[in-house]
Amino acid sequence: MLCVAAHGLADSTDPPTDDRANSPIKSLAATCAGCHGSDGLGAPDAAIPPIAGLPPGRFIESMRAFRDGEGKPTVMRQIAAGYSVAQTRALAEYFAGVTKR
Amino acid sequence: MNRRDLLTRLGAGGALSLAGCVHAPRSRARPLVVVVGGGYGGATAAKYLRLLSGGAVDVTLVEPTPHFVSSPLSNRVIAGEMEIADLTVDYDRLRSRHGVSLVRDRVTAIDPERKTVVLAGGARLHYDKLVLSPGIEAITAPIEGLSDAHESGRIVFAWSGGEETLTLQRQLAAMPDGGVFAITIPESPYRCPPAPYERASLVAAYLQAHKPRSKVLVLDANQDVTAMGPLFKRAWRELYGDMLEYRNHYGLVGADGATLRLRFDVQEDVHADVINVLPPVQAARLAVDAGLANVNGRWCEVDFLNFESRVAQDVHVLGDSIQAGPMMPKSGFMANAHAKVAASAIVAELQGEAVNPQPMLVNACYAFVSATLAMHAASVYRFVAEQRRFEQIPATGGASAAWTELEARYALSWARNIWADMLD
Repeated sequence: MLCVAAHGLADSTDPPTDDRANSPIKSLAATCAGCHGSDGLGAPDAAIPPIAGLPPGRFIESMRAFRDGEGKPTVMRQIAAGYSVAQTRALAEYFAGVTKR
Repeated sequence: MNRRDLLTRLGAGGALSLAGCVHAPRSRARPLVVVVGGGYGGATAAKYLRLLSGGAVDVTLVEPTPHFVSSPLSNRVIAGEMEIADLTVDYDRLRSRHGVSLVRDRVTAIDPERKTVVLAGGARLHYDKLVLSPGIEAITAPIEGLSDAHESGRIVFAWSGGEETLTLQRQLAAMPDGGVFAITIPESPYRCPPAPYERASLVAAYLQAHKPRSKVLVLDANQDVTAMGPLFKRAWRELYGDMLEYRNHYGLVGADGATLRLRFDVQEDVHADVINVLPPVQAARLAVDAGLANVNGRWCEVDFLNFESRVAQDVHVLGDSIQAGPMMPKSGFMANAHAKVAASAIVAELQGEAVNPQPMLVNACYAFVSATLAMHAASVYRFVAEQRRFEQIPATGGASAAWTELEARYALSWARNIWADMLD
């Protein structure tokens, strides 16, 4: 309960994790790959940070900050505005679970 | 020879010739997708078809060149800031990591009725699904003398991967100080809206550093800069001053390679020391000849849910050769995005699953204004079922407020990550 609340995942209507190779969350995550690398596993020393393995809370908070125009202006201000809160949450869970190949 | 032997030999890599070999129709057990073109769209499609099917779908990629060479970032090679090797990536990992069969050949014809493609080497490949990402071709006929000038190597386009990029770089290196570089830009739509302006900017930067009495003439058929206009014009004013001149409404009608003169529909002729013509373009000859370019005879209309041609069943078209939706530029980034949507839809169809009803596309283009400064334009698109097409999500369309060194670092980082997304 505490864990769920801390991550802000109290919504009980969230769909269960989809482990299929060709799931909708895979397609959604693939829209990030053009800049962040396949599965968010971009080069670790690059200017654009990898997003695989990010704690979900941090992912969600970063996207919120981008949408609200906080911090350094980058392309993410525009990109983040394209994803709903639900999509952002789903992506956060997905990338948190990605480990290096 | 049975199928396993054939695939093993294909998997061995290298330039395998399939002359005289007819690839028999597929057994129902393992569907085969043939992907034509190993660029931003095709390479991505090949990899993602394998990934999203968990290896259950066989994929053959037909591409004539031995390595992938990126056109994005190639303006830096023209300006002497990068080498072609920095833009070059091997195809081998598609095979070794993802099990894509690589065929180094060129597709010369498509038969959608029989579901086969013919290769220049003589072989015929059968497909269950065909993915075409063949790129664009130049339309030179309306510009008198251009075809000859291009054949002779005097006037290059340098608008798709590699050799001509180097030729243009050498022409500029050989140009005397005080010379004029002229670049002509065709009417929209064309491949990569900001790229001609990036090229002009980078050449200006190079000339400013090495041949400071030289001039850059941007002769644009469009009524205004087609991408990041205010930003480019401000950059030109602030960084290059009188060195770069932009002229709009310049419709090219003639180009003479011997005299290096350009003729325009309305204005006076222009002479330059180095000329780069960006010709009007259309879908690649292969797509046009197959009857797929049903929009003005130039672009291929597709169903945006799965990128299937509206003209030919089980033929999916990606990248620059499609008739894009509103506000959807022709770019490598977009081709990579198309490919992932198409791959998911094709795998779903082949496996009898539902196609994702809410695909999304993202586009992010970085453009350099000098060797160390860049800026971006980006958009996110969602699929609107009622219109059956992608539409830009309003809050997402736009560009940087300014060019920065950080954006330049992002641009280089983007290239590494997208090439890995395509080819690793």
